[in-house]
Amino acid sequence: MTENIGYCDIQYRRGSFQLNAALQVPARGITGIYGASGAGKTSLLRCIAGLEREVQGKVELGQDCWQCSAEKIFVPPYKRRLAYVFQDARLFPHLSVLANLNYSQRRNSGKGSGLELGAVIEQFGLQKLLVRRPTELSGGEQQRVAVARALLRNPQLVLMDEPLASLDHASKQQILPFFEELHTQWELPVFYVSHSMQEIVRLCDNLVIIEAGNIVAQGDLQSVTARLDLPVLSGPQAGSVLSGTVTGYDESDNISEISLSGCRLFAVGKFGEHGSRVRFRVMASDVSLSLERPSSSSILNTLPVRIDDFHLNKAEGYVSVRLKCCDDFLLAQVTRRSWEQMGLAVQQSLYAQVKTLAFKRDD
Amino acid sequence: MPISEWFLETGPIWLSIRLAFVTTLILILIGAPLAWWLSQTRSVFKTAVEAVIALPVVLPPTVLGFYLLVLLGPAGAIGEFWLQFSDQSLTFSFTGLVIASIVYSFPFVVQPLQNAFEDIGSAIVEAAWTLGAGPLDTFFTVIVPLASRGFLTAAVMGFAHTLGEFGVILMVGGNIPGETRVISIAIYDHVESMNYQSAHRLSILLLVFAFCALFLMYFFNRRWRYQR
Repeated sequence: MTENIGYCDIQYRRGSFQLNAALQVPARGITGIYGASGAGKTSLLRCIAGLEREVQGKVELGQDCWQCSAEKIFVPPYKRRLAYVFQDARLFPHLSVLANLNYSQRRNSGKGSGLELGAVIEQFGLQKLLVRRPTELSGGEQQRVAVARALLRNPQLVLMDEPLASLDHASKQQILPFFEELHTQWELPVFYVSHSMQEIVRLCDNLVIIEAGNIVAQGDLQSVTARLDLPVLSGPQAGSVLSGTVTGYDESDNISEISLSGCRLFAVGKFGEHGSRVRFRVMASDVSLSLERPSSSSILNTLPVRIDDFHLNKAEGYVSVRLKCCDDFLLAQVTRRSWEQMGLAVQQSLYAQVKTLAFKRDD
Repeated sequence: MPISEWFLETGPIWLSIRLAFVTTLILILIGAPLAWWLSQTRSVFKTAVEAVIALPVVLPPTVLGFYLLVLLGPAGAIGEFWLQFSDQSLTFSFTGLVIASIVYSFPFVVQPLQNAFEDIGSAIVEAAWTLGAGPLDTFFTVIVPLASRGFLTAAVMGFAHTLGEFGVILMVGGNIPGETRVISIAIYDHVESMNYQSAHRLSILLLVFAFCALFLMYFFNRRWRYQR
């Protein structure tokens, strides 16, 4: 993980729901916040932003203290330099797109930002929308304006609350590249709440798992997704995140070759130019184990692996297995019966078979 | 037509307009913050305040006028203070009429504003905050423009309702030309003295005005609908 520039330690209660969250704010990169609905993802962001008043604890960012209930410090949301992107874009309906952007820029320019309105408009492709009213925009366009408007706040921290959740598939695909650019263009820490693991795998570097108001895991994406002890990341949701380099593409078979730390994988489709980095998820249910190298199988990918750890799920009758594949982790699920019949144990070497089709980059 | 007669005929019209204008202006200024408070507060007093504001809708103007007369009179709490302060009586004066009209038309201004503020909701306000706009800034740049329909309705209702008031004015203001003799009083006066033609002229004026004001209000409310 990169260095941290701040931290939050928040206690917040609403009815029977109790949020108890302590987490670090990495200096840059997108941190995904993942959890079941009602786990407190949105509440967490609202507490950080100061939109909830009855919050106890501490929120500090860089030199600024936004909240410290012990010292009775509470900086109101309009004095916290943060960008908040809501699930519903919340553009001002009485203002044009340009006026919406100006609203943010006029209140936040002159703070040494170097943020140019023109540059932001260009980056988000808003040139043709400027004179329109928010009601005349599609959902994806509205959300693009909302993100641009939020960035003109010249923030120290960007909070995004399921910005894609209310959009259809096509709009999502249209807006995701802009978010990916956030990554490279803006050296800003971003908290990105989502209930879609696909989005998180595509965008995020770090991952925070929240469960019933508690932070149960925080760390870089690959190591958190490789954990076996997190209920929200088990069962059909279990899957490891791998990243590698595209090293080949066979046009006649439409198969890409991707090199990981020490092995090669094949995936259907073209994943980008030769040499480009890709990150993808391999679902645990798509990985099967074999003691000998299979000689004939319809499955293209057979990897030599070693068992790193396992977790027996008694109720469901299956075993979650973490496999070490060179420097990468791979998750697999096998039935309890297979686990016992094969006599598997930690440190054992064997072969993992991965369905080629499992390498889908997007949903 | 001699000047004095012309004044007698049109004086009440100008007086009514002046009264309604001043009353509406003051009502918007004090009604807007109060309506905003009502739309946001979770205070236990909210319901009580709402009920008090709505009283003039259901009370007979004579009841309202009676208490105002007691309160504003030289022996009343407000009247006595005013008498010491300005050496003038509040009852049977234009100032007294303005105060009475404010009370009488209060719900007609506060309620549309409160409805408009409640319709805006907290979501857009939070958005403004996260963009660095403070509460006052947000009020004038987001809430007031978005509640423009509410302000229009409040202004028209306040103005028209003040223009049409009769009972309270009769109780508090009496019938002093140029001071408290507004249209509705003049009409009553004309009818009393069997001067039906003059009563008719003023009545039709009020009727036409009321229709035009309401028509314009509904017309603009339809045009200004922002979808959210």
